[in-house]
Amino acid sequence: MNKRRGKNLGLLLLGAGPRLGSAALVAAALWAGFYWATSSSGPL
Amino acid sequence: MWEFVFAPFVDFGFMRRALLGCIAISVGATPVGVFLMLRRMSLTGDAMAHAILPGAAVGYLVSGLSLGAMTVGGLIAGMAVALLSGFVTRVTALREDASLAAFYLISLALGVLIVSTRGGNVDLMHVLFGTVLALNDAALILLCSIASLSVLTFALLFRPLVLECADPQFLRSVSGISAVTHFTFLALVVMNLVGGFHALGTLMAVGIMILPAAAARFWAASIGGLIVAAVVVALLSSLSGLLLSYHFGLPSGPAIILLAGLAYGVSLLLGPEGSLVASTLSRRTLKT
Repeated sequence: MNKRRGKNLGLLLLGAGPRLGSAALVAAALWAGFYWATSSSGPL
Repeated sequence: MWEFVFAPFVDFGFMRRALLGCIAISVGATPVGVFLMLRRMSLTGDAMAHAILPGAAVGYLVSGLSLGAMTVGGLIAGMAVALLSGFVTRVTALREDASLAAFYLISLALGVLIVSTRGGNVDLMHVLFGTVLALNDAALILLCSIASLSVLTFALLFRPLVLECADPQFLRSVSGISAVTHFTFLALVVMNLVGGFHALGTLMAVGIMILPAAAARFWAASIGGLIVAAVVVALLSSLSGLLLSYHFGLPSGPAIILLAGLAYGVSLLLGPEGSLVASTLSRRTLKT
């Protein structure tokens, strides 16, 4: 039973690697945006 | 074109911060909205948005307009209402929508009462409608952290979340992560509402979560497509809302949400998936 549940869990997490990679890229872009928004010079 | 679209963000730091805050909310909150919509919990998001108010108000009472205190207070209040309404549903005859409505109404009244007793109208307006044009570094770090955590969590739990939308009992029967998925999702809802409330306020935060998701329903059929379409709608609404607010002196939060509402209206009429026009065209094709 536990073995089958473990196998099912593996199936549920199928494809998580590439998705995590894409999500990490999105997060990196957000933090690059943070650098841009907070460090650029401007009157205000 | 340059003057209208790009110059405000090049010239003014507060506009860049507002844009980044809106991008972070769009990226983090709209996938939550898509899953809320798929689980037929759109109004639950609205109820949760009101439920975080007393926690934020207690944080405000303890340490004024402090980001940390209001965030922690909002998180605790939101999770408490989610868990309490779930508990009441399980142990009494009351259904979940009624218990959630009861708790959120109590929370809303309590929150407004707490803010009003100590703060003035300006503070109450800040809590209710947010300050997207006055986001400081700490608020941006919070918004970017919540958005990053959300996209990473969605990437990891995408399949269990989809399965829980389609057939929660099947997920429960084949694996032990049904409860983990459900509570992680609830935590993401509360976190994104708390993040959104700093920028758009408790009353508007849920708008950027649900309206793009509802609009995306008319543009995509797959769940991945829904998420991408919802994020695009949220980003376009945020950008154009900020520009309208800048050029015409409109309040930015309502401008963003109204443009998301406009996107919903246009999608409802013209989208390729089940919109009014698409439905009419397919009926005509069937007749001929």
